Amino acid sequence: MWRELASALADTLYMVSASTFFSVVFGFVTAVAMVLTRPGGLRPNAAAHTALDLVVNLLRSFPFVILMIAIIPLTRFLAGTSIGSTASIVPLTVAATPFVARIIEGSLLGVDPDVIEAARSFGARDLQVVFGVMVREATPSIILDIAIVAVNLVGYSAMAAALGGGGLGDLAIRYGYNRFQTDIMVYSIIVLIVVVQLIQRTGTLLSRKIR
Amino acid sequence: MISVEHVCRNFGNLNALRDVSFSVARGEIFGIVGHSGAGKSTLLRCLNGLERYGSGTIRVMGREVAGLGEEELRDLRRGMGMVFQNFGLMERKNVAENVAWPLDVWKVPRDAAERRVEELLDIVGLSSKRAGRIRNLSGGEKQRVGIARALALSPGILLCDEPTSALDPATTESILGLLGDINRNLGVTILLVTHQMEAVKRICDRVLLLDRGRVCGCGRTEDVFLSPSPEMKRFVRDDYASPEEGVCVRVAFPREVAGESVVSRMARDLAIDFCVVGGRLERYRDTVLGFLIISVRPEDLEGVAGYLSGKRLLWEVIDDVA
Repeated sequence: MWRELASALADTLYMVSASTFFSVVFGFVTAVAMVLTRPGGLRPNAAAHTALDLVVNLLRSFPFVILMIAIIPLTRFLAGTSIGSTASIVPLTVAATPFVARIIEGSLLGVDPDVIEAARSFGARDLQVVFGVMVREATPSIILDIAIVAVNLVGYSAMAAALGGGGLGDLAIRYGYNRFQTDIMVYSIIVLIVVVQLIQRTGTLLSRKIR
Repeated sequence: MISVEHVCRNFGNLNALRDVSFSVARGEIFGIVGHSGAGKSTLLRCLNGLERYGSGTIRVMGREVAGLGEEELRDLRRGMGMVFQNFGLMERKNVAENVAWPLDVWKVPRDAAERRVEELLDIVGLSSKRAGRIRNLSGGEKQRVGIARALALSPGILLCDEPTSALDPATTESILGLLGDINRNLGVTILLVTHQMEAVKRICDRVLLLDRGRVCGCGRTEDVFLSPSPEMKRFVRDDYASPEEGVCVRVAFPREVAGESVVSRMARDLAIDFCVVGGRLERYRDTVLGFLIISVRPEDLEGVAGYLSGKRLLWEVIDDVA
Protein backbone atom coordinates (compact mmCIF):
# COMPACT_ATOMS: atom_id res chain seq x y z
CA MET A 1 0.00 0.00 0.00
CA TRP A 2 2.76 2.46 0.94
CA ARG A 3 4.50 1.80 -2.33
CA GLU A 4 1.28 2.56 -4.21
CA LEU A 5 0.80 5.71 -2.19
CA ALA A 6 4.37 6.85 -2.92
CA SER A 7 4.08 6.23 -6.64
CA ALA A 8 0.69 7.97 -6.72
CA LEU A 9 2.24 10.96 -4.95
CA ALA A 10 5.06 11.01 -7.51
CA ASP A 11 2.48 10.92 -10.32
CA THR A 12 0.50 13.78 -8.81
CA LEU A 13 3.60 15.90 -8.32
CA TYR A 14 4.68 15.17 -11.89
CA MET A 15 1.32 16.13 -13.42
CA VAL A 16 0.86 19.20 -11.24
CA SER A 17 4.36 20.58 -11.67
CA ALA A 18 4.45 20.02 -15.43
CA SER A 19 1.00 21.49 -16.05
CA THR A 20 1.67 24.40 -13.67
CA PHE A 21 4.88 25.13 -15.54
CA PHE A 22 3.29 25.06 -19.00
CA SER A 23 0.14 26.91 -18.02
CA VAL A 24 2.16 29.65 -16.31
CA VAL A 25 4.36 30.07 -19.38
CA PHE A 26 1.41 30.28 -21.81
CA GLY A 27 -0.83 32.16 -19.38
CA PHE A 28 1.86 34.72 -18.64
CA VAL A 29 2.40 35.46 -22.32
CA THR A 30 -1.35 35.79 -22.84
CA ALA A 31 -1.67 38.06 -19.80
CA VAL A 32 1.10 40.36 -21.04
CA ALA A 33 -0.56 40.49 -24.47
CA MET A 34 -3.94 41.34 -22.93
CA VAL A 35 -2.46 44.07 -20.73
CA LEU A 36 -0.55 45.60 -23.66
CA THR A 37 -3.49 45.62 -26.07
CA ARG A 38 -6.24 46.69 -23.68
CA PRO A 39 -7.75 50.15 -24.15
CA GLY A 40 -5.39 52.55 -22.40
CA GLY A 41 -2.57 49.98 -22.48
CA LEU A 42 0.86 50.62 -23.94
CA ARG A 43 -0.12 49.25 -27.37
CA PRO A 44 -3.91 49.51 -27.53
CA ASN A 45 -5.43 47.15 -30.09
CA ALA A 46 -9.14 46.62 -29.68
CA ALA A 47 -9.40 43.68 -32.12
CA ALA A 48 -6.57 41.67 -30.57
CA HIS A 49 -7.75 42.40 -27.06
CA THR A 50 -11.34 41.42 -27.74
CA ALA A 51 -10.21 38.19 -29.39
CA LEU A 52 -7.92 37.22 -26.50
CA ASP A 53 -10.55 38.13 -23.96
CA LEU A 54 -13.13 36.02 -25.75
CA VAL A 55 -10.90 32.95 -26.04
CA VAL A 56 -9.95 33.16 -22.37
CA ASN A 57 -13.59 33.39 -21.29
CA LEU A 58 -14.58 30.65 -23.68
CA LEU A 59 -12.00 28.15 -22.42
CA ARG A 60 -12.81 29.04 -18.84
CA SER A 61 -16.48 28.20 -19.36
CA PHE A 62 -15.79 24.53 -20.15
CA PRO A 63 -16.27 22.12 -17.25
CA PHE A 64 -12.92 20.38 -16.93
CA VAL A 65 -14.27 16.87 -17.52
CA ILE A 66 -15.90 17.95 -20.78
CA LEU A 67 -12.82 19.87 -21.91
CA MET A 68 -10.69 16.82 -21.23
CA ILE A 69 -12.83 14.69 -23.52
CA ALA A 70 -13.25 17.39 -26.14
CA ILE A 71 -9.50 17.81 -26.68
CA ILE A 72 -8.61 14.11 -26.80
CA PRO A 73 -7.45 14.44 -30.44
CA LEU A 74 -5.07 17.23 -29.42
CA THR A 75 -3.85 15.19 -26.45
CA ARG A 76 -3.21 12.22 -28.70
CA PHE A 77 -1.36 14.41 -31.17
CA LEU A 78 0.89 16.00 -28.52
CA ALA A 79 1.45 13.10 -26.12
CA GLY A 80 1.04 10.19 -28.52
CA THR A 81 -1.66 8.70 -26.30
CA SER A 82 -4.74 9.93 -24.51
CA ILE A 83 -4.37 7.95 -21.29
CA GLY A 84 -1.88 8.10 -18.45
CA SER A 85 -0.21 10.81 -16.41
CA THR A 86 1.83 12.33 -19.22
CA ALA A 87 -1.22 12.56 -21.47
CA SER A 88 -3.28 14.26 -18.77
CA ILE A 89 -0.75 17.11 -18.64
CA VAL A 90 -2.24 18.35 -21.94
CA PRO A 91 -5.84 18.89 -20.75
CA LEU A 92 -4.61 20.15 -17.39
CA THR A 93 -2.49 22.79 -19.14
CA VAL A 94 -5.26 23.75 -21.53
CA ALA A 95 -7.70 24.13 -18.66
CA ALA A 96 -5.35 26.12 -16.43
CA THR A 97 -3.83 28.47 -19.03
CA PRO A 98 -6.82 30.82 -19.41
CA PHE A 99 -7.24 30.90 -15.66
CA VAL A 100 -3.55 31.79 -15.23
CA ALA A 101 -3.88 34.44 -17.93
CA ARG A 102 -6.78 36.02 -16.07
CA ILE A 103 -5.21 36.14 -12.64
CA ILE A 104 -1.79 37.27 -13.86
CA GLU A 105 -3.55 39.95 -15.90
CA GLY A 106 -5.14 41.06 -12.63
CA SER A 107 -1.78 41.18 -10.90
CA LEU A 108 -0.19 43.18 -13.73
CA LEU A 109 -3.09 45.63 -13.71
CA GLY A 110 -2.63 45.99 -9.97
CA VAL A 111 0.70 47.75 -10.52
CA ASP A 112 0.49 51.43 -9.56
CA PRO A 113 -0.25 53.31 -12.84
CA ASP A 114 1.90 56.20 -11.60
CA VAL A 115 4.95 53.93 -11.61
CA ILE A 116 4.28 53.00 -15.22
CA GLU A 117 3.77 56.62 -16.16
CA ALA A 118 6.94 57.58 -14.29
CA ALA A 119 8.94 55.06 -16.30
CA ARG A 120 7.51 56.41 -19.54
CA SER A 121 8.12 59.99 -18.39
CA PHE A 122 11.87 59.52 -18.42
CA GLY A 123 11.95 57.66 -21.67
CA ALA A 124 11.68 53.94 -20.83
CA ARG A 125 10.81 51.78 -23.84
CA ASP A 126 7.62 49.71 -23.82
CA LEU A 127 9.58 46.51 -23.20
CA GLN A 128 11.40 48.13 -20.30
CA VAL A 129 8.07 49.22 -18.89
CA VAL A 130 6.53 45.76 -19.20
CA PHE A 131 9.39 43.72 -17.76
CA GLY A 132 11.28 46.31 -15.74
CA VAL A 133 8.21 47.78 -14.09
CA MET A 134 5.00 45.78 -14.47
CA VAL A 135 6.36 42.26 -14.15
CA ARG A 136 8.94 43.27 -11.57
CA GLU A 137 6.48 45.09 -9.34
CA ALA A 138 3.86 42.36 -9.76
CA THR A 139 6.21 39.46 -9.00
CA PRO A 140 5.15 38.92 -5.36
CA SER A 141 1.54 38.85 -6.49
CA ILE A 142 2.31 36.57 -9.46
CA ILE A 143 3.97 34.08 -7.11
CA LEU A 144 0.75 33.91 -5.10
CA ASP A 145 -1.13 33.44 -8.38
CA ILE A 146 1.08 30.48 -9.25
CA ALA A 147 0.41 28.89 -5.85
CA ILE A 148 -3.33 29.24 -6.45
CA VAL A 149 -3.00 27.61 -9.87
CA ALA A 150 -0.89 24.74 -8.54
CA VAL A 151 -3.44 24.04 -5.79
CA ASN A 152 -6.26 24.11 -8.34
CA LEU A 153 -4.31 21.73 -10.54
CA VAL A 154 -3.96 19.28 -7.66
CA GLY A 155 -7.76 19.16 -7.63
CA TYR A 156 -8.04 18.94 -11.42
CA SER A 157 -5.47 16.15 -11.56
CA ALA A 158 -7.81 13.98 -9.50
CA MET A 159 -10.46 14.46 -12.16
CA ALA A 160 -7.95 13.51 -14.81
CA ALA A 161 -8.01 10.09 -13.16
CA ALA A 162 -11.38 9.58 -14.78
CA LEU A 163 -9.58 9.40 -18.13
CA GLY A 164 -6.80 7.17 -16.94
CA GLY A 165 -4.40 9.68 -15.44
CA GLY A 166 -2.65 8.37 -12.34
CA GLY A 167 -1.98 10.07 -9.03
CA LEU A 168 -3.46 10.40 -5.59
CA GLY A 169 -6.92 11.25 -6.87
CA ASP A 170 -6.90 8.10 -8.96
CA LEU A 171 -5.82 6.07 -5.95
CA ALA A 172 -8.57 7.53 -3.77
CA ILE A 173 -11.23 6.79 -6.40
CA ARG A 174 -10.07 3.29 -7.35
CA TYR A 175 -9.46 1.89 -3.88
CA GLY A 176 -11.51 4.10 -1.68
CA TYR A 177 -14.60 4.62 -3.81
CA ASN A 178 -14.76 1.59 -6.10
CA ARG A 179 -13.37 -1.02 -3.68
CA PHE A 180 -14.54 0.44 -0.36
CA GLN A 181 -11.01 0.51 1.06
CA THR A 182 -11.59 3.52 3.23
CA ASP A 183 -8.09 3.54 4.76
CA ILE A 184 -6.41 4.06 1.39
CA MET A 185 -8.84 6.81 0.55
CA VAL A 186 -8.14 8.53 3.87
CA TYR A 187 -4.38 8.23 3.41
CA SER A 188 -4.59 9.64 -0.13
CA ILE A 189 -6.59 12.55 1.12
CA ILE A 190 -4.16 13.23 3.98
CA VAL A 191 -1.28 13.26 1.52
CA LEU A 192 -3.26 15.62 -0.72
CA ILE A 193 -3.89 17.94 2.22
CA VAL A 194 -0.17 18.01 2.98
CA VAL A 195 0.70 18.68 -0.67
CA VAL A 196 -1.77 21.58 -0.90
CA GLN A 197 -0.54 23.05 2.40
CA LEU A 198 3.07 22.86 1.25
CA ILE A 199 2.33 24.53 -2.09
CA GLN A 200 0.37 27.37 -0.50
CA ARG A 201 2.86 27.95 2.31
CA THR A 202 5.82 27.99 -0.04
CA GLY A 203 4.01 30.48 -2.26
CA THR A 204 3.08 32.76 0.62
CA LEU A 205 6.56 32.66 2.12
CA LEU A 206 8.32 33.32 -1.19
CA SER A 207 5.97 36.15 -2.04
CA ARG A 208 6.50 37.77 1.34
CA LYS A 209 10.23 37.34 1.18
CA ILE A 210 10.76 39.21 -2.08
CA ARG A 211 8.13 41.87 -1.51
CA MET B 1 11.27 77.07 -23.61
CA ILE B 2 7.70 75.89 -23.95
CA SER B 3 5.05 77.40 -26.15
CA VAL B 4 1.51 76.12 -26.39
CA GLU B 5 -0.85 77.49 -29.00
CA HIS B 6 -4.55 76.80 -29.44
CA VAL B 7 -4.35 73.29 -28.05
CA CYS B 8 -7.55 71.25 -27.87
CA ARG B 9 -8.05 67.76 -26.54
CA ASN B 10 -11.28 65.79 -26.43
CA PHE B 11 -12.12 62.58 -24.66
CA GLY B 12 -15.22 61.44 -26.50
CA ASN B 13 -17.46 64.46 -26.23
CA LEU B 14 -15.75 65.82 -23.14
CA ASN B 15 -13.59 68.82 -24.01
CA ALA B 16 -10.65 68.33 -21.70
CA LEU B 17 -8.72 71.23 -23.21
CA ARG B 18 -10.23 74.04 -25.23
CA ASP B 19 -8.02 76.43 -27.17
CA VAL B 20 -5.28 76.61 -24.57
CA SER B 21 -2.36 78.95 -25.26
CA PHE B 22 0.52 80.06 -23.07
CA SER B 23 4.29 80.10 -23.00
CA VAL B 24 6.89 79.44 -20.36
CA ALA B 25 10.29 81.10 -20.30
CA ARG B 26 13.54 79.41 -19.31
CA GLY B 27 14.14 79.47 -15.56
CA GLU B 28 10.57 80.25 -14.60
CA ILE B 29 8.37 78.54 -12.06
CA PHE B 30 5.05 78.40 -13.85
CA GLY B 31 1.88 77.35 -12.07
CA ILE B 32 -1.12 75.68 -13.70
CA VAL B 33 -4.09 75.93 -11.37
CA GLY B 34 -7.65 74.71 -11.54
CA HIS B 35 -10.21 72.60 -9.76
CA SER B 36 -10.14 68.84 -10.27
CA GLY B 37 -11.21 67.90 -13.76
CA ALA B 38 -10.10 71.25 -15.17
CA GLY B 39 -7.65 69.59 -17.53
CA LYS B 40 -4.44 70.54 -15.72
CA SER B 41 -2.91 67.07 -15.65
CA THR B 42 -3.94 66.39 -19.24
CA LEU B 43 -2.24 69.61 -20.30
CA LEU B 44 0.94 68.70 -18.42
CA ARG B 45 1.03 65.25 -20.04
CA CYS B 46 0.65 66.76 -23.50
CA LEU B 47 3.94 68.56 -22.94
CA ASN B 48 6.01 65.39 -22.71
CA GLY B 49 3.87 63.35 -25.07
CA LEU B 50 2.32 61.05 -22.46
CA GLU B 51 -0.99 62.35 -23.73
CA ARG B 52 -1.87 63.28 -27.30
CA TYR B 53 -3.60 66.49 -28.25
CA GLY B 54 -6.12 66.96 -31.02
CA SER B 55 -5.27 70.28 -32.58
CA GLY B 56 -2.94 73.18 -31.96
CA THR B 57 0.81 73.19 -31.50
CA ILE B 58 3.05 72.49 -28.55
CA ARG B 59 6.71 73.32 -28.92
CA VAL B 60 9.07 72.22 -26.19
CA MET B 61 12.73 73.25 -26.45
CA GLY B 62 12.10 74.09 -30.09
CA ARG B 63 10.49 70.77 -31.04
CA GLU B 64 6.87 70.17 -31.99
CA VAL B 65 5.78 67.37 -29.66
CA ALA B 66 3.11 65.87 -31.94
CA GLY B 67 5.60 65.53 -34.78
CA LEU B 68 8.09 63.41 -32.88
CA GLY B 69 8.77 59.75 -33.60
CA GLU B 70 9.23 57.23 -30.83
CA GLU B 71 12.98 57.72 -30.42
CA GLU B 72 12.75 61.51 -30.65
CA LEU B 73 10.04 61.45 -28.02
CA ARG B 74 12.26 59.41 -25.71
CA ASP B 75 14.98 61.98 -26.28
CA LEU B 76 12.60 64.83 -25.45
CA ARG B 77 11.50 63.06 -22.26
CA ARG B 78 15.10 62.66 -21.26
CA GLY B 79 15.25 66.44 -21.02
CA MET B 80 12.04 66.70 -18.96
CA GLY B 81 11.71 65.22 -15.47
CA MET B 82 8.29 64.48 -14.02
CA VAL B 83 7.08 64.41 -10.41
CA PHE B 84 3.81 62.71 -9.42
CA GLN B 85 1.17 63.21 -6.75
CA ASN B 86 1.44 59.60 -5.58
CA PHE B 87 5.18 59.53 -6.19
CA GLY B 88 5.26 56.61 -8.66
CA LEU B 89 8.10 54.85 -6.89
CA MET B 90 8.95 51.18 -7.28
CA GLU B 91 8.22 49.41 -4.01
CA ARG B 92 10.65 46.61 -4.77
CA LYS B 93 13.62 48.93 -5.25
CA ASN B 94 15.29 50.83 -2.43
CA VAL B 95 15.79 54.60 -2.35
CA ALA B 96 19.06 54.70 -4.28
CA GLU B 97 17.81 52.19 -6.86
CA ASN B 98 14.71 54.28 -7.48
CA VAL B 99 16.82 57.38 -8.04
CA ALA B 100 19.17 55.42 -10.32
CA TRP B 101 16.30 53.98 -12.36
CA PRO B 102 16.32 56.57 -15.21
CA LEU B 103 20.10 56.19 -15.37
CA ASP B 104 19.65 52.42 -15.82
CA VAL B 105 17.11 52.97 -18.55
CA TRP B 106 19.56 55.19 -20.40
CA LYS B 107 22.45 52.80 -19.71
CA VAL B 108 24.63 55.30 -17.88
CA PRO B 109 27.91 53.56 -16.84
CA ARG B 110 27.77 52.21 -13.30
CA ASP B 111 30.32 54.44 -11.58
CA ALA B 112 29.02 57.63 -13.20
CA ALA B 113 25.51 56.58 -12.17
CA GLU B 114 26.59 55.94 -8.57
CA ARG B 115 28.20 59.35 -8.33
CA ARG B 116 25.09 60.98 -9.79
CA VAL B 117 22.82 59.19 -7.31
CA GLU B 118 24.93 60.46 -4.39
CA GLU B 119 24.72 64.01 -5.74
CA LEU B 120 20.96 63.75 -6.12
CA LEU B 121 20.38 62.25 -2.68
CA ASP B 122 22.46 65.10 -1.29
CA ILE B 123 20.34 67.69 -3.13
CA VAL B 124 17.11 66.29 -1.69
CA GLY B 125 18.61 65.60 1.73
CA LEU B 126 18.17 61.82 1.80
CA SER B 127 21.78 60.64 1.79
CA SER B 128 21.28 58.82 5.08
CA LYS B 129 18.39 56.77 3.70
CA ARG B 130 20.00 55.56 0.49
CA ALA B 131 19.43 51.90 1.31
CA GLY B 132 15.98 52.44 2.85
CA ARG B 133 12.87 50.66 1.61
CA ILE B 134 10.26 52.88 0.00
CA ARG B 135 7.47 51.63 2.23
CA ASN B 136 9.34 52.78 5.32
CA LEU B 137 9.53 56.40 4.14
CA SER B 138 7.18 59.23 5.05
CA GLY B 139 5.18 60.96 2.31
CA GLY B 140 7.59 63.89 2.21
CA GLU B 141 10.57 61.57 1.91
CA LYS B 142 8.87 59.63 -0.88
CA GLN B 143 8.34 62.85 -2.79
CA ARG B 144 12.00 63.76 -2.27
CA VAL B 145 12.93 60.44 -3.85
CA GLY B 146 10.52 61.23 -6.70
CA ILE B 147 12.15 64.62 -7.22
CA ALA B 148 15.66 63.16 -7.11
CA ARG B 149 14.62 60.59 -9.72
CA ALA B 150 13.09 63.29 -11.93
CA LEU B 151 16.39 65.20 -11.80
CA ALA B 152 18.56 62.16 -12.50
CA LEU B 153 19.09 62.86 -16.20
CA SER B 154 19.75 66.59 -15.54
CA PRO B 155 16.58 67.79 -17.28
CA GLY B 156 16.05 71.41 -18.23
CA ILE B 157 12.36 71.20 -17.35
CA LEU B 158 10.62 69.66 -14.36
CA LEU B 159 6.92 68.82 -14.73
CA CYS B 160 5.23 68.54 -11.34
CA ASP B 161 1.76 67.01 -11.21
CA GLU B 162 0.17 67.89 -7.86
CA PRO B 163 3.45 67.17 -6.08
CA THR B 164 2.22 68.33 -2.68
CA SER B 165 -1.45 67.35 -2.81
CA ALA B 166 -0.91 64.14 -0.86
CA LEU B 167 1.19 65.82 1.83
CA ASP B 168 0.46 67.62 5.09
CA PRO B 169 0.97 71.42 5.27
CA ALA B 170 4.41 71.39 6.91
CA THR B 171 5.72 68.80 4.44
CA THR B 172 4.14 70.72 1.56
CA GLU B 173 6.07 73.77 2.66
CA SER B 174 9.37 71.88 2.72
CA ILE B 175 8.78 70.27 -0.69
CA LEU B 176 7.89 73.64 -2.21
CA GLY B 177 11.05 75.06 -0.64
CA LEU B 178 13.04 72.26 -2.25
CA LEU B 179 11.50 72.94 -5.66
CA GLY B 180 12.35 76.63 -5.25
CA ASP B 181 15.97 75.75 -4.41
CA ILE B 182 16.20 73.45 -7.42
CA ASN B 183 14.88 76.22 -9.65
CA ARG B 184 17.36 78.75 -8.25
CA ASN B 185 20.44 76.58 -7.92
CA LEU B 186 20.15 74.31 -10.93
CA GLY B 187 18.30 76.71 -13.24
CA VAL B 188 15.59 74.12 -13.92
CA THR B 189 12.37 75.48 -15.40
CA ILE B 190 9.46 74.18 -13.33
CA LEU B 191 5.83 73.66 -14.28
CA LEU B 192 3.69 73.12 -11.22
CA VAL B 193 0.19 71.72 -11.62
CA THR B 194 -1.86 72.07 -8.46
CA HIS B 195 -5.24 72.92 -7.01
CA GLN B 196 -3.59 74.39 -3.92
CA MET B 197 -3.59 78.18 -4.27
CA GLU B 198 -1.13 78.39 -1.37
CA ALA B 199 1.45 76.39 -3.28
CA VAL B 200 1.16 78.72 -6.25
CA LYS B 201 1.50 81.85 -4.17
CA ARG B 202 4.47 80.36 -2.40
CA ILE B 203 6.75 79.71 -5.37
CA CYS B 204 5.26 80.50 -8.78
CA ASP B 205 6.47 83.44 -10.85
CA ARG B 206 3.51 83.23 -13.18
CA VAL B 207 0.31 81.28 -13.14
CA LEU B 208 -2.26 79.97 -15.59
CA LEU B 209 -5.83 79.45 -14.40
CA LEU B 210 -7.74 76.63 -16.08
CA ASP B 211 -11.44 76.15 -15.77
CA ARG B 212 -13.13 73.23 -17.52
CA GLY B 213 -10.40 73.05 -20.11
CA ARG B 214 -10.38 76.76 -20.86
CA VAL B 215 -7.80 79.35 -19.86
CA CYS B 216 -9.50 81.90 -17.63
CA GLY B 217 -6.46 83.88 -16.67
CA CYS B 218 -2.72 84.03 -16.97
CA GLY B 219 -0.24 86.42 -15.48
CA ARG B 220 2.20 87.23 -12.72
CA THR B 221 1.16 85.52 -9.49
CA GLU B 222 0.81 88.76 -7.53
CA ASP B 223 -1.36 90.32 -10.22
CA VAL B 224 -3.63 87.32 -10.48
CA PHE B 225 -4.22 87.03 -6.76
CA LEU B 226 -4.11 90.66 -5.65
CA SER B 227 -6.12 92.24 -8.41
CA PRO B 228 -7.95 89.44 -10.18
CA SER B 229 -10.13 90.07 -13.19
CA PRO B 230 -13.83 89.33 -12.68
CA GLU B 231 -13.69 85.84 -14.13
CA MET B 232 -10.67 84.90 -12.03
CA LYS B 233 -12.36 86.10 -8.90
CA ARG B 234 -14.38 83.08 -7.95
CA PHE B 235 -11.24 81.09 -8.44
CA VAL B 236 -8.90 82.90 -6.19
CA ARG B 237 -11.31 84.28 -3.63
CA ASP B 238 -11.86 82.69 -0.26
CA ASP B 239 -15.34 82.46 1.13
CA TYR B 240 -16.24 84.53 4.14
CA ALA B 241 -19.53 84.87 5.92
CA SER B 242 -20.48 88.52 5.74
CA PRO B 243 -22.90 90.45 7.90
CA GLU B 244 -26.29 91.07 6.33
CA GLU B 245 -26.00 94.82 5.98
CA GLY B 246 -22.76 96.60 5.25
CA VAL B 247 -20.19 96.62 2.51
CA CYS B 248 -17.16 94.38 2.61
CA VAL B 249 -13.80 95.94 1.91
CA ARG B 250 -10.70 93.85 1.39
CA VAL B 251 -7.50 95.62 2.28
CA ALA B 252 -3.99 94.35 1.59
CA PHE B 253 -1.10 95.42 3.79
CA PRO B 254 2.61 95.09 3.17
CA ARG B 255 4.37 93.29 6.00
CA GLU B 256 5.71 96.41 7.66
CA VAL B 257 2.23 97.87 8.09
CA ALA B 258 0.12 96.35 10.80
CA GLY B 259 -3.39 96.00 9.42
CA GLU B 260 -5.36 96.14 12.63
CA SER B 261 -3.90 99.43 13.80
CA VAL B 262 -4.41 101.14 10.45
CA VAL B 263 -8.03 100.13 10.41
CA SER B 264 -8.74 101.04 14.01
CA ARG B 265 -7.00 104.39 13.55
CA MET B 266 -9.15 104.92 10.49
CA ALA B 267 -12.25 104.15 12.54
CA ARG B 268 -11.21 106.73 15.13
CA ASP B 269 -10.29 109.36 12.55
CA LEU B 270 -13.49 108.93 10.59
CA ALA B 271 -15.62 108.22 13.65
CA ILE B 272 -17.19 105.12 12.13
CA ASP B 273 -17.79 101.56 13.23
CA PHE B 274 -16.59 98.48 11.39
CA CYS B 275 -16.48 94.77 12.00
CA VAL B 276 -13.83 92.29 10.96
CA VAL B 277 -15.08 89.60 8.58
CA GLY B 278 -11.82 87.80 8.02
CA GLY B 279 -8.12 88.18 7.71
CA ARG B 280 -4.97 86.26 7.00
CA LEU B 281 -1.32 86.41 6.13
CA GLU B 282 -0.33 85.19 2.72
CA ARG B 283 3.09 84.46 1.49
CA TYR B 284 4.03 85.47 -2.05
CA ARG B 285 7.43 83.94 -2.68
CA ASP B 286 9.66 86.24 -0.63
CA THR B 287 7.12 88.73 0.61
CA VAL B 288 4.37 88.36 3.14
CA LEU B 289 1.15 90.26 2.69
CA GLY B 290 -1.58 90.69 5.24
CA PHE B 291 -5.24 90.81 4.25
CA LEU B 292 -8.11 92.11 6.27
CA ILE B 293 -11.71 92.01 5.20
CA ILE B 294 -13.85 94.48 7.09
CA SER B 295 -17.49 95.36 6.85
CA VAL B 296 -18.56 99.01 7.01
CA ARG B 297 -21.90 100.78 6.68
CA PRO B 298 -22.69 101.70 3.07
CA GLU B 299 -22.86 105.42 3.92
CA ASP B 300 -19.30 105.29 5.30
CA LEU B 301 -17.83 103.67 2.22
CA GLU B 302 -16.80 106.85 0.50
CA GLY B 303 -14.86 108.10 3.49
CA VAL B 304 -13.17 104.71 3.95
CA ALA B 305 -12.21 104.60 0.30
CA GLY B 306 -10.60 108.02 0.48
CA TYR B 307 -8.79 107.17 3.70
CA LEU B 308 -7.32 103.88 2.43
CA SER B 309 -6.28 105.36 -0.91
CA GLY B 310 -4.64 108.20 1.00
CA LYS B 311 -2.56 105.60 2.85
CA ARG B 312 -1.58 104.06 -0.51
CA LEU B 313 -3.00 100.68 0.43
CA LEU B 314 -4.37 98.16 -2.06
CA TRP B 315 -8.05 97.73 -1.37
CA GLU B 316 -11.24 96.73 -3.06
CA VAL B 317 -14.91 96.37 -2.37
CA ILE B 318 -16.07 92.79 -2.45
CA ASP B 319 -19.68 92.51 -3.40
CA ASP B 320 -19.83 88.79 -3.92
CA VAL B 321 -18.83 87.50 -0.51
CA ALA B 322 -20.93 84.43 -0.04
